[in-house]
Amino acid sequence: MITVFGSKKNTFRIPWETFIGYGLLLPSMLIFLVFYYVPGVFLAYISFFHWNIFSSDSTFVGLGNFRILFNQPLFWRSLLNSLYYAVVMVPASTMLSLGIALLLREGIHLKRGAVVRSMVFLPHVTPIVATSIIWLWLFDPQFGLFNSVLGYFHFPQPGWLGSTHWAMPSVMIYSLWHSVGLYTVLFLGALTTLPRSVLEAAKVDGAKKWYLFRRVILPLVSPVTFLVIVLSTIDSLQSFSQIYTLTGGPHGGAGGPAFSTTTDSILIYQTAFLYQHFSLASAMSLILFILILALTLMQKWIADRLVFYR
Amino acid sequence: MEALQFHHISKKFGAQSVLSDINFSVTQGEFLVVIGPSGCGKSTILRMIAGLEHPTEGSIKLGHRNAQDLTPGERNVGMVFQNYALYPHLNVYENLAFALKAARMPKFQIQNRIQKVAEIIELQGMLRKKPGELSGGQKQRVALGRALVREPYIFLLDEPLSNLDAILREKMRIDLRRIHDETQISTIYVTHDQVEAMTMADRILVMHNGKIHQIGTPEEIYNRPSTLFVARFFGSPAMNAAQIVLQIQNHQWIFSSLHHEQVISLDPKILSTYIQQENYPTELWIGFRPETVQEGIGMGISFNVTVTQMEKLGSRTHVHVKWGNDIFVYLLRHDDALPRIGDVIEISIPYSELHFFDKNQNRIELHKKEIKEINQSLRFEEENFSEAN
Amino acid sequence: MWKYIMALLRIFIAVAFIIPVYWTFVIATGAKGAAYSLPPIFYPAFHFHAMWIVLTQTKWFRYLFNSILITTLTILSVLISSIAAGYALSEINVKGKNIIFYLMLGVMMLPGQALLIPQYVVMFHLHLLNSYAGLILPFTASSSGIFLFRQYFMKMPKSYREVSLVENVSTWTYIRRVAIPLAKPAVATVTLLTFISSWNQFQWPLIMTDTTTLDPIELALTHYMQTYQANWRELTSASLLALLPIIIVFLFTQKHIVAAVAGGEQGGKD
Repeated sequence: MITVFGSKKNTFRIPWETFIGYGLLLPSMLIFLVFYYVPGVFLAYISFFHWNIFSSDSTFVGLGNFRILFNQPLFWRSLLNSLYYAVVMVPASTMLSLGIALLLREGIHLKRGAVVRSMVFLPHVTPIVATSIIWLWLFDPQFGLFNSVLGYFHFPQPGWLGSTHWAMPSVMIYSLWHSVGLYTVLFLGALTTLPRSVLEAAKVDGAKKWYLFRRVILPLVSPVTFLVIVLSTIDSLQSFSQIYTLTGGPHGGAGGPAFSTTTDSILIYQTAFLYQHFSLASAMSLILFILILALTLMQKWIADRLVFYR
Repeated sequence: MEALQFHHISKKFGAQSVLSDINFSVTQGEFLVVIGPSGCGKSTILRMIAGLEHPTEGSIKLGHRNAQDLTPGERNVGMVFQNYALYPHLNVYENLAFALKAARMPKFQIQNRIQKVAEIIELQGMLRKKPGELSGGQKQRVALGRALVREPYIFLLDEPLSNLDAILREKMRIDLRRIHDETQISTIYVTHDQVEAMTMADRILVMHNGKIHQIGTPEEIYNRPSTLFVARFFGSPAMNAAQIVLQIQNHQWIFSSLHHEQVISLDPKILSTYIQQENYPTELWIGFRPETVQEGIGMGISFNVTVTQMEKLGSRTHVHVKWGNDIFVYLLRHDDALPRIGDVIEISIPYSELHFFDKNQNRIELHKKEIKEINQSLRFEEENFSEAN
Repeated sequence: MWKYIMALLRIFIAVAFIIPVYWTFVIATGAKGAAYSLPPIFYPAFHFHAMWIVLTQTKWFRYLFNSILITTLTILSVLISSIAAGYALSEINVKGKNIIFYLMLGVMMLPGQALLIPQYVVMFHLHLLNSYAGLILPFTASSSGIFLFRQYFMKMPKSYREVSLVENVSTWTYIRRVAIPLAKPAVATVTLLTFISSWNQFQWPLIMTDTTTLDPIELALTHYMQTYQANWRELTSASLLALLPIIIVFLFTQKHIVAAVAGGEQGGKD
């Protein structure tokens, strides 16, 4: 039964409740282990083998996979593309969402304020493939809305998804439309909970709007800013669905004209499931894994220094 | 067989000791009040009885069963929490029935019990209401009822009245005691309010800093407090106390305050047993309750004091006086003549109303012989006194 | 003056964000070939013919059924596993409680894209490829769900559980009759969030199945893209049909979702 004398933990505990506790945790833990942690460990392992997953034979090749990878210009191209994508997306979505949040902040308690917020947020909850379809039309160089409007004003009409220079920016535009909503809501949440006393005190002190923004608001929303930066970094480095759909995935491949939209995730997908080179795909996945993890940790480290927590 | 026994119970949370060597027992049907200032460990005692905490050392017995062999649910105790712990999404009836339903009691039996209990706690009409619609007092009675329906072996109440206003508290004191008398369940009642203790308890257990200072009936606690702490905890205004030094001067017993030189003469008979010890410490505490103080020189010991302040409370007045560095309070009725601030007066206390505590603040028991002799000389003085007047 | 500019900007933003969804509707209900007209058509013509074709002449209902099945089962499993884990982590003292909690949260930090290959391998060896189980099982546990429920249970007074302990009520009965009913808001939040993420899933079924019979709606759309190529009317009808459920749900639960996301994310970071 229970032994009580000299128990190390003096909090109340009944043995079979401990048993129940583990039992309650087991399902989730099992799922996490089998479908997430085990693959994680596995990844580090299989990257160093050349193997065919459908049979059981595999040969240890050490860094061989990586050597092959590094000799592929396409691999470096994909890294570059991913970087390009992230480097533009992260600041763009952060600033854009903050800007929109500031704009909406005044009237947010009004009904129309809430309506605008909902409209900005809606794209985020919609399925990516479904909405990408209309964007395919919007971006159509001949019949799409964008070029029609641009043509009406006699502006140059880019090739959007069909052009090597514009394909990636087109995807970025879509992604901004899709993800800014979430970040805006996060910023709005932070902005509406700013301590009014601080703002009013600053205004009374005669602070100009820009000063107010830079010295007061910005530091106060820095936790959310940091969160948005981390989220958008992780999200942009792992973007797949929209790139796939917008640049030809269903027709076999994706990757854009002249590989301009072949990012890490696209390349991994193609290598594994189109060309069946699982070993190379694993090696790439490992690189991506380390890259993202490292970036996230680094960002956290930086944030601990810069972010101002109330 | 006692309803409850604590044998050498200690409790530590990490390095911090909350209870040291607690020993006491509760007889069947008794109403025991555990009282002490906040943080003295009284709630911990209650929780250990319920099984929500385990003692670091010692053993607890519930009747003839060893508590450590039992889960909280098996101990058959009923507990009323300070914040009532009523489930907000269930109405009163469902709250009362909760444990019974969980024990698979047949429906009609549950209904019977709840009917009975609803009568006892006087909430018959409220059974369909939710806790959010009830007042504080009503919620408290539901919490009570919830414990009662299980017909527990022991009733534990943790400061149940502390969230209620004064008027309600008065009514609830009477109600609680009545419920106890009707149900005859052994009850342990934790509080920091001395009025509750004095009016409701069969016995009081006084605690301070994790130790028991005294267990006794309200009368014993009030008239023969075991420690200075107990003496000053009960009684309003609190007992006057001063540290004194006992000396012999000119073949006469005197005592002086520890802090200044004023000297009071003392009848040598009064501490005769105490001074027969070898090397008795000469530092003592003397205590006397404000209501036993009389103005003017009288029988007993007298102090020469200066009036510093007066608090008028309607039916009576508290007069604050200064004896050297010590402040005493005594009482006057509303129609008595009041002294003026700054007056120097004499106050006196009969010997039978004096309390003495040793250097460690423990009671010095006066020997029966001493008291008898004092009473004799008192009567003698009284006769002389009245004759003189 | 400034105020008017701001108001104009707001209108501009609202319009900009709604354009894609609006035009989906325009083209889907437009005349045949409306997508090709120049200048572009701005108003929907309310011809639902194309949508009718999609609904009746394709396997639309099969795909819909798949989505509903997968999403419903996922939501139920997530609720069960998250309530259980959330309760255990908040109220029960098990050894290593904190380590387990951080491990469960840690899953969120793993880069999903990078794990797909090894996950595929694991699925292969578990014979879960091309099965409903494979599309549901990996998502039956949710870090944010666990986090949310744990928060919620931690906010409940400890005395609720203590009084039931004294009353000899079993943990299971307590969870069932007290903890869960009182956690209704959390249940609603987790249901919503799980619905959204489950309904919108695309890459996972893309990789883990190669037949079309199991495809949920999102994946099915890519098949439509292959079938319909440049038949914009049919294509956008299909995507409109895919969007409708989510939009309807969103309209009814806007406030709740926004609050959940804003509150949940802020709590769930790190």
